[in-house]
Amino acid sequence: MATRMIDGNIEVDNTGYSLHDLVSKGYGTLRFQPFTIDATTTINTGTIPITTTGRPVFAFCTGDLNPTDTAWVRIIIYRDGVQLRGQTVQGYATSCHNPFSLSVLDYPSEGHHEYSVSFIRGSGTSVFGSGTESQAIFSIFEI
Amino acid sequence: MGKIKINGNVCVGNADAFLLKNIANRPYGTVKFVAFTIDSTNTSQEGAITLTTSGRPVYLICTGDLNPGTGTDWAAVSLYRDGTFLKQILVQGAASSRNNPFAATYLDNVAAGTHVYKVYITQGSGTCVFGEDGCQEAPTFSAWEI
Repeated sequence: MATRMIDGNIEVDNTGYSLHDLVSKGYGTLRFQPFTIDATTTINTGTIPITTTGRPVFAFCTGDLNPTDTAWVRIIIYRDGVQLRGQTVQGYATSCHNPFSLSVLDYPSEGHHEYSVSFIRGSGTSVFGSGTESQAIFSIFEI
Repeated sequence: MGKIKINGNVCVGNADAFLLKNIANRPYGTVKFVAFTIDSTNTSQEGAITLTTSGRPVYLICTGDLNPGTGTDWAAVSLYRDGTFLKQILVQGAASSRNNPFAATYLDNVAAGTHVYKVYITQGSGTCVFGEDGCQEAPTFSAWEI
């Protein structure tokens, strides 16, 4: 089999679809260390930088809230400081875990962006990550 | 400058150009609902996304949270393609105002063409608020060809 090296990008047709862009779509993921939202720590934020080629970005955050009684938290996803979408997660009894899944398909312009997710206390004490295997996950990727 | 290592044949002609175009332009769509309430008066809410696909599967995801109004209220979240049922989940509150998040997902293996994907959020019982904190907290429905 012959091997041929091409130095540079291949672009096909007048509009220039770039192989480089197709194989270089941005992505990132953040596995939170276990944390607690309570009267002392009222917010926890994680951020992922990404450089995009112009395609939409899917952002999603999953995990579970372990409440004390009916504690609740608001989870919000931001892009470059602008709120994209939020969700409220509330327990109904102590230690009755409530899973969550928050997602948004975002259409940013090509370039560098920072996506973040914040866990903001509503009331009570909420534990995220009761062990090393149930932490909250925040992931983003260009589709 | 980057490098591409080719082991075999590469054909770059009109047909392949269209293929690359399809890859680069795989369709997508999203519905960001405004806040709404499902109850005995308004029993269903729907969102639709139209995609013209090249033959690759389509991923669907609808997420949000249900805020039950009166107790153990519940709703169904159902995904359809061209009127054909694909997937349903049921979301129920444990008690009044105990917000319960949900995620309905499906990977649809569908032939190339134009397809209409819909999500229906329908009443099971009681009063269910989607977007307690306003429209930024209402459900989202997204679909794209992978």
